[in-house]
Amino acid sequence: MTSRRPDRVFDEGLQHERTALAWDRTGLAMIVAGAFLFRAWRASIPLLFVVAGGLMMAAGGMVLAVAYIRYGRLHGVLHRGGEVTNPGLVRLVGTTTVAFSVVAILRVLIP
Amino acid sequence: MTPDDHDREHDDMHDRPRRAWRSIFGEDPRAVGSEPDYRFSFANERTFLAWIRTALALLAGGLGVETVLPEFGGRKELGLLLLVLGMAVAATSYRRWARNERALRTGTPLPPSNLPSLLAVGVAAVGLAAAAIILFAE
Repeated sequence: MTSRRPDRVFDEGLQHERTALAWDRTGLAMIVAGAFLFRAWRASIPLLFVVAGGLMMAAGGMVLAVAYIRYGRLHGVLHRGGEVTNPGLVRLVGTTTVAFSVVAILRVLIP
Repeated sequence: MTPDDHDREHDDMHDRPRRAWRSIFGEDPRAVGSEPDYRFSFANERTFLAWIRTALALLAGGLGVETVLPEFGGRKELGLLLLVLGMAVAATSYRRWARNERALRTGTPLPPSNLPSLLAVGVAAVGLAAAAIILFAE
């Protein structure tokens, strides 16, 4: 009878899973931060802030979706061996956060 | 015009945005060295994400001070301090990730950073300011 267990551990220390969870937490944090801007809606406040808050929440949702897809895809890469870094994704999340911070500062500066 | 000339003209046309891109993001870290142990790449990625979440927490805090708390003297300044800290953390996070990734790929020491100490001082300042507002705003 052959064992159904894999012949070697492909991800010692569960780095892959921990990284996927870190992406999930970041996506959730983006949704929460976006909600802070989104819920601050008042008739006197420019629509820009509501839209920016909504976009940030959508971006957080996209991070969750990408994290899910990437988690599955990287299983194959880890088995075969290959590049796991994705500078494009890192750039996108960094830039989105900076753009959000600019809008947040405007929100406080505009009475 | 040979296909080569055409390529060159095409390159010139695209040079400006490419240069602007490079001045913001620097070189692609994958251009140097060799692929490190995937565990190190993942650890660097998680560290970047932890910095981004720190930035997001500061931004949510700044927005919360401004939009959730009732009006009080110094509220705007307190909110702005948190937001500027959040922006500073977010704006430096990609560069830090890329520098670390390059160091991992070339086997050189990880570059030092003074952002942790800056952040500690900034958050302490926010705490002191909040305490002062509570004590003296009556």
